[in-house]
Amino acid sequence: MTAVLERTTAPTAAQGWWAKTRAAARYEYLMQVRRPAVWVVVIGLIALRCAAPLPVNIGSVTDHAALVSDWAGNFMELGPIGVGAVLADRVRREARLELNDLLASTPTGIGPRLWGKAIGAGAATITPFALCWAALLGYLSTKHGAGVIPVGIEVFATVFLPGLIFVTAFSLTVPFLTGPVLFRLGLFGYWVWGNMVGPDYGIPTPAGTPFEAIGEYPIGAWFHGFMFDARERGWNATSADAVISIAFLLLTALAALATAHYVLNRRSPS
Amino acid sequence: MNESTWARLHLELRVTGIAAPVTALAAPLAGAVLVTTLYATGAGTHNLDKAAGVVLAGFAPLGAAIAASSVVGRDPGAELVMTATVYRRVLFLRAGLVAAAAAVATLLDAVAFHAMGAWPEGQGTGGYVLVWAPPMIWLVALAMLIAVALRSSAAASGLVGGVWLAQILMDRVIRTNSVLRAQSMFMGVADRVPAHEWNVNRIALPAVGVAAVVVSGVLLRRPERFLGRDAA
Repeated sequence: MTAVLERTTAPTAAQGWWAKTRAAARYEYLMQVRRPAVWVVVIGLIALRCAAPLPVNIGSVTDHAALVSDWAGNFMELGPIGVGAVLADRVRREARLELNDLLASTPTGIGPRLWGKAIGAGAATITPFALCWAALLGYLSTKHGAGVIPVGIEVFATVFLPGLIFVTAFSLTVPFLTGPVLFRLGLFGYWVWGNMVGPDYGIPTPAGTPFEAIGEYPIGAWFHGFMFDARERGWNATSADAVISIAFLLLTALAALATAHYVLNRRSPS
Repeated sequence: MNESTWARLHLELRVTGIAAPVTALAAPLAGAVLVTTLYATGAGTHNLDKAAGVVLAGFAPLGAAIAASSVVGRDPGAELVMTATVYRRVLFLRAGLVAAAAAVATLLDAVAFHAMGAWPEGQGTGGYVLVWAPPMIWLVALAMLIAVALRSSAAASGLVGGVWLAQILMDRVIRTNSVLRAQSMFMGVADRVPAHEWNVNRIALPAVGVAAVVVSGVLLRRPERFLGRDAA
């Protein structure tokens, strides 16, 4: 117990907002990364998708960018729903354990706790995702040369991170309203409707537009990867579309967290 | 049922809370809104039939599974429950109540869809139950097994959601493999299915579901595994 407390200095009232957020993020990271469910679900879903025959014939792709981005498309089909599912119960954890009053008595306010949770728990949940990706890049580099590694890092930053940050932000805010159980059902429904139900089904959907979260536009515009729903719409991705897609995901995530911060601050007795 | 049985069911429903039944009912309700909207806006027959099939065979079972597995590991006073009664019975009763609510709502959906003419091709009136009940039993039982084995409803939701989505993504692969085909949730959505494949699938799904319930029951013989832990 003493050793745990000695690892970081507890935040004080005199410390700045960022120091408090960093301390909260550190603890949230450690709590989340030690949950077996995080590893089992995220790795399980990626393995489930990769074990099945893939929609694109990846074995015949020789271009590094297309090869890596087609693998990224497969990671993004199931991985983000696992990330959202295991993050959804973090929101009400403190209330469930009746810790809210105790936490309210500490110098760390609601803001650092919320943003610390988003940064720490989000990073922890993305950790198994990132390790799976690193393992795949290692394997691909033995087959196709080390050139796949820098491409893989670029794909991680432009395809995975925006989508995962988007899912993380909503998984840590919407359950304040819905609770984790209903949120998970909504997340799965959204993921299928908003990213996989193409326009041919006759249902209005963001799938195949820059406003989907699966990262098709960066894949198509910058890495020449295969686009499913956008192709169904007859759209070709340009760099501007890819930038719009990433900006939409990041700004929406920021707006969700900022709104939650504002509402929680208003409801706070202090 | 006598008065004490009703009182017990009422009590367990209240202890279960609002979130699980609402989630179980939300899926068939949202599905009904979707199909009615498509019907009202004059969607093509093929799309309408497919949407009805996906709601009944896919979305309703998913809601029931997520909701039923959420009853695992959320008892703040589990020790007290364990000293007074068999915890396994309590968990199964709560999950059963949640799944039963989903089943009734889905049956109402099926009747309404059939009346609208939004009905999976090749299905007769037997489809009122056979399109959705076997997948629902299968997915709910699988979710309960994962939740009990990993002591985490989050893990159960995530993995069951993944399996559900994988069945949609890998439909073509599943149909070419006889073992996987027997476990396909979405066979009721397919345009035409040979009678023997349909029969095998509709028997295999609940059979695997029953096996998963039995294994969950065996794991729940040691309910103390659920004590003194934060969500895994």
